[in-house]
Amino acid sequence: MAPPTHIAPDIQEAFFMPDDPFDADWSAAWEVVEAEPLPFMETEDLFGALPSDDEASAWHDARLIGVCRPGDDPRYEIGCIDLYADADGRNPAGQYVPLANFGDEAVATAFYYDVQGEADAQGLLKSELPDFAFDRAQAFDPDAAWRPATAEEIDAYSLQREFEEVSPLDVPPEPLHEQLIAQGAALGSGGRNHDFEDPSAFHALREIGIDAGDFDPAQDPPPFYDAQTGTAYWIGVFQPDRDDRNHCLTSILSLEKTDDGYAAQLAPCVPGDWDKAHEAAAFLILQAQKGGIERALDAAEGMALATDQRDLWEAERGLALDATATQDLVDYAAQWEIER
Amino acid sequence: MKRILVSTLAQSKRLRAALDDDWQIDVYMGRVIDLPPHALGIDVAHDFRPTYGATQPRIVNRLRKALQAAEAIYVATTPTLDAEAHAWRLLRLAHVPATTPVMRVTLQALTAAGIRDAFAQPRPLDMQRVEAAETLRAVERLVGYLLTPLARQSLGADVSIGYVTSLALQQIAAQPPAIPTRWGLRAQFETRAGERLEAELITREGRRVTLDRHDKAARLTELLRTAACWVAETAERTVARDAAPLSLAQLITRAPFAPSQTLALATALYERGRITCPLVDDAIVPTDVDGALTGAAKVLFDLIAAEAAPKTETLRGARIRAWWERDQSVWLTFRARERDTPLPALTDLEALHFIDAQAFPIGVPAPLTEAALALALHGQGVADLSTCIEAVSALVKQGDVETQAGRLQLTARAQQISAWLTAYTGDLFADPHAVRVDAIAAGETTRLEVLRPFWARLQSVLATVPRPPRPLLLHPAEV
Repeated sequence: MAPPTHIAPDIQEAFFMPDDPFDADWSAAWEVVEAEPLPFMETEDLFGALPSDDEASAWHDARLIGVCRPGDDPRYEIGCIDLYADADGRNPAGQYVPLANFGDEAVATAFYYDVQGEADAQGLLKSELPDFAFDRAQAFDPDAAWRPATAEEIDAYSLQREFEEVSPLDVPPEPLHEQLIAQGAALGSGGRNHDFEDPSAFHALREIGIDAGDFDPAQDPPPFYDAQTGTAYWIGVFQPDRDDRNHCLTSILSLEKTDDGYAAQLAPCVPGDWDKAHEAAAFLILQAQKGGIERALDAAEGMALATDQRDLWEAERGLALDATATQDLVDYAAQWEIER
Repeated sequence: MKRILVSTLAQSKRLRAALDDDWQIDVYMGRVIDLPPHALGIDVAHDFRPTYGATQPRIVNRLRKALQAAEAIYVATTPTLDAEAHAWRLLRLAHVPATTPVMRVTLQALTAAGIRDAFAQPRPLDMQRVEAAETLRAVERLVGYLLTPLARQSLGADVSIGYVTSLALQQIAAQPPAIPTRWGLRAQFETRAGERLEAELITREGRRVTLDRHDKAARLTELLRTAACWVAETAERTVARDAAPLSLAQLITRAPFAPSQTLALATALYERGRITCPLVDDAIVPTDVDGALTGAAKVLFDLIAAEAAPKTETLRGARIRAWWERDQSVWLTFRARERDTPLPALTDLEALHFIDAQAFPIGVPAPLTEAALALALHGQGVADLSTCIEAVSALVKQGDVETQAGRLQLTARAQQISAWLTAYTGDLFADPHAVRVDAIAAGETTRLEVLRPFWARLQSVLATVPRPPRPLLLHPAEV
């Protein structure tokens, strides 16, 4: 299509907005905080030791930075650092000139963006920034002069550089990790074959009345294992009624291979609702990771004593399980008064 | 009002100076529209449908209003895949009327003539390039958001998994060890005037002498200490060389800076109007804009200007003889060339004093440097060269990679990450051709043809990466 002549008289053809081949969703209303505060770096030792000046150093970078001078009346200072470093960007050293300082962080931040904006508008190269900043500094204070940059000012430079640069890495915020792991597991299972062989240990558990509902041998790590006794340990939450998350029991399940098959014991530790029992189980896992299953068992025994569950331990590692014992445990748990 | 969309203030300033008042220039800086930070943002069940929103709502809202009312829109952002896609996202989010002309201009040079030329030859938005950028964006998001949390549970909180960075990491890990099996010999001599020169041991026929054992160099050096040495022959020739302007790929290997610094300096020179655009595959040449430059910018500009102009070089060389008498008379020949190191003025038969000699390895693979790695990734079609440079630079800044003896090496932490990737992600990051962004941009394949098999591989990784220990849920078995 020919464009209207008043738009582009010397152009023969106009182009228009292509369709959306990705059918993207543009309705999202999420927002990210726009005004990012300047990362002020606190400095105690204004004239601290300088990093060693490498002979092979060359001009590296120049930036406006913000430095917080703490004290009874903290000052937020904006200055320019002119930096030299070796070929790998290491051993930075250089000079620094303060432009202005303010008692109010927001005012200092606004000043920083004003000066930086002026430099951007002039299209200054980084190597031209020191001269520009020095002129600005002298406009505010005719006695302004370059002096060696302190280690704190160089650190402030590093912080500022990280602040300005957008990482090419796309990493989710920490609070989202659990959700994404679950999402990844669900998405991943779409491509997985579920017909895995159930480990024989779990068949044995079923025979004595226990079902490890969410164990996935393809992804969950193996249990903690004591090679001396040939015993495997799982730390978990026993939930007698699948529909009742208010009655749960932090437990260590041990399974020992015997000549006749398997011998199972369950060591109940902390009764409570799902959250409480889960939290205690996570703590025991941490103990096992740090000091082995013995440390976890010691901690479990202490918890069982504190919650009056220790009496249920008929053997060293808890209550010997068979189908009857499991049912007894279910009946027992049903009588708990849950503390909230 | 005709509106021009640019992505930096410097571009805006140059355009404003070159165009008349009929044009309104809108500038956005950075990624003002992106996938959401708080969710995956890619619907894998529906052809990887992305969800986009504004990261800088105030800027986007201002632009939206301006663009909706425009008579025509000229997209004059930088000529990278990402910039093309970003402009497209911005225009989509602005709901630009279908009747509004949307033209793409590539500013080869930010000079008055360059700008006017570019605006006389617009093209449509290149949706193949947009599709290529969207593909890489989706891949980076899927990898970053689904694998990073898993890796952090095994390796610690400071681990970040990206697609291009992981490819780079695995290529560093896979580089063959540089074990030399042959060596040459390089010797230093001094003239009577005290000037030094360096020369390489050659055969009588002029070929490099190769030593099959490193210790032979030490024995030769000892013998050379007793030798009489002199200049056997000098030569000089003048060579006229055509202009051979550097591309960005050549510039990052020739400039005395890290590739990311070279890219930043070259971009700054371009935005200052001093050189043509370094972000396209074309050669970079100086413009007719004058002005003093200092520091690193001057070093880079001088290099670009020197290579962009034809030049006449005078190459000088010399053959040096070393002779000694033991059981029999022995003489060796060395060759000194000006192209390697500066040569002092020499005359035929001038006596020289032998200083020392060292073996240097030959036939070993070129060391993997930051520039070489970025070029390799780009050559594999993974991304724009600028994106590859930034990815390699990110690894260096994160402390995952360091240079030892001119060769990139993984730090101890990065070795752990690499081992984790090898153990749990199979060949996901070992096959650099799985995501051929360049092929999508060239129209040889499509986004979905690339994303579907990639996602199938990532799915199988997600299904097999072991979870950290978690409390086991026990129920009474159902009867």
